Amino acid sequence: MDRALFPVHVSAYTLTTALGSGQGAHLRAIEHNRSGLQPLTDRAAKELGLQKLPDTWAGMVDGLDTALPSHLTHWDCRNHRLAWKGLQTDGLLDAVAGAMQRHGPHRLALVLGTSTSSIQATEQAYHHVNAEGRFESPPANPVLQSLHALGAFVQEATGIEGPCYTVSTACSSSAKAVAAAHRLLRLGMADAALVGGVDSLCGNVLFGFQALQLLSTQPCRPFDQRRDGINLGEGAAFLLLEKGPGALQLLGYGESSDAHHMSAPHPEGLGAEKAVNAAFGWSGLMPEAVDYVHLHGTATPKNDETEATLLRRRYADRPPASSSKGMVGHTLGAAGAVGSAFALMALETGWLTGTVNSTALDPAFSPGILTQSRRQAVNTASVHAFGFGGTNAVLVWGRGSGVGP
Amino acid sequence: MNPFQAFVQGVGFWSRQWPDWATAYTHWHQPMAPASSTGTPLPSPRCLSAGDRRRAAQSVSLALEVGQQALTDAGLQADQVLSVFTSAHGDLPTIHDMCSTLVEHPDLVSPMRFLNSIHNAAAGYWSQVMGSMAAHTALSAHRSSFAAGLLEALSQCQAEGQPVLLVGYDTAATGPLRETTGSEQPLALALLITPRQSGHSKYRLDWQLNHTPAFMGNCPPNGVSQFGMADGWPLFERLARTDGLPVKLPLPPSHCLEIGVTALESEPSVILVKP
Repeated sequence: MDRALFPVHVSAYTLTTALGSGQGAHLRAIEHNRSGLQPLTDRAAKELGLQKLPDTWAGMVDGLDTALPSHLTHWDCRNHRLAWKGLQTDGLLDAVAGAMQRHGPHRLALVLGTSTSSIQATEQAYHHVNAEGRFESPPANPVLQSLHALGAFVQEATGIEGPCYTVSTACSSSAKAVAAAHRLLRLGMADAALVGGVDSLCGNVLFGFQALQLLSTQPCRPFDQRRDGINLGEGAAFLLLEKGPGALQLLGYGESSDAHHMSAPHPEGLGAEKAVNAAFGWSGLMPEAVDYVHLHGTATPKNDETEATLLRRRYADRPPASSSKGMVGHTLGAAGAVGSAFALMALETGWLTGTVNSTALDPAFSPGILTQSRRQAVNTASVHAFGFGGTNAVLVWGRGSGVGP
Repeated sequence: MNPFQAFVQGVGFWSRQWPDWATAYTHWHQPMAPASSTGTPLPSPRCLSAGDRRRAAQSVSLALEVGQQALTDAGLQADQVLSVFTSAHGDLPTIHDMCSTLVEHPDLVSPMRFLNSIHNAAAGYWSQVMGSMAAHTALSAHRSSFAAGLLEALSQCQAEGQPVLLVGYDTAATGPLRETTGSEQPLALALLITPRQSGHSKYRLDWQLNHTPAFMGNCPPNGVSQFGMADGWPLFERLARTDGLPVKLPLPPSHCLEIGVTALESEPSVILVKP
């Protein structure tokens, strides 16, 4: 089967980050170039259940001190509270219910991406280990202490009954979840798929990234000549994919490995380039002709240099491009889905995100990298998601036969 | 819907009792053959340097060992092959170390340990040591992790038309996670799957996703529940003893991955162990 011929469209999507819940909140932030990053304070430590925190800024989501509804209490942890909050906006749950009614709940697949999943619940449990080395209060729901907790929770919360698994390939996770879901739809194993990503702050990532010396003590500045590291962010983004053409379509996906280093990208971006080529190879669209590139743009010296080199070499520096991580932080496993939501908003409204916080771009980089948001016609947009372990995923989204602005 | 077809060109296996596919195959094929000694130390994959072998996290050693077994068995190069890594729990000793360290001394978290705790660590090491830029993925579905990994691998094989290496692995838990995960023994399984038959194909798989209740599937036998990766056991047992019946791997809540297995060689490529 020629994969370029199998159309899949987005029938609903939503996101929740430090900027708020839903497309509306994000569009307002994009228009006004507002950042949701804040310094991590004692209050944040208390909310996260940590005694101390690294000296850094982060994109924390508000309102996660509310427990899950009582029928889902056996899944309660910060990541699932964020997932639950993330499901509630932009009519996503209604769209999922509609798809289940049309196709049957067993014909919906569920593929989510995450790095942290519910590890925070395990971290908390380690504070209460008895003299025999066992948890004082083992969880009634042991799945809560496994990586697939996110997939299992959303499955129960939505009633989806089709194939369900959790992809965890660091920062490319939820972009790869889209590719995996497309294959399931194309092969007829599902008629629709809920895809997305959820990640939240916890000791593992805060102190893990500190140990790798990748955190900035300042608000992160992607592609800025003074950039010096990332800010972590919390995010939940969901897309409902359905087979068939529609107003917002997946035009291509590309996946590859760097085969270079566990925590630094291939210096010439060869792996990322392979993924770009694969993603654009479907449709015959040339990368330099795409209307917008939503960059991975983490603000590490190496990622941004490699990615800017890729923009020059493969996109010919032509399309406007930006990173949203100065607004929401690096949402790790959720980054691919969050980035896709930004790209879809660009397709629907014409709003291109600015690389907020970055005022003095590295002069060696593309003049097409936007520091401020702007509005223009957008028919095609690509999304980059590159992760530890040298994993690369690129998605291309486009306006189909439906209406736009 | 008609079943899809895929071909198994290489097999990898590691448990403390059966540290390679030849041993596992022999035991299943000739149940009276003596088991090799229990308590085999964790593997030292040849593809790692001596230093890396000493330092490698357990999950990395397990995954790379069986991945290498299957790739060698298949006679293919790593850069020709996509890869899917699946694990119910990830590297449990590393998770135990990380969470223990975070309680008292979070500033002492080791960068190496953090990288090893990431779910695609084994997958990333595989692509790095094998020099392969082919895409890799890493996933989990708790007790259905092997089934989900196999579904992903077969989907990639069918949709992308390329060979796929599937590696399923789980470590023994240490500390309080022993009780909550029930993962008491390491087990690693690998299949090198191709979309087309070749002169090196060992089995044909006729597979489909069936909408049937999970309890109708093949559950792992009782003695196998100690493995986090137990749900893959019935398929490997069927590879050793093809009896014409399909294997049904549960994908809860309402599906099974049904796989018909046909051996393609009149003589197995493994050497039977003499009693």
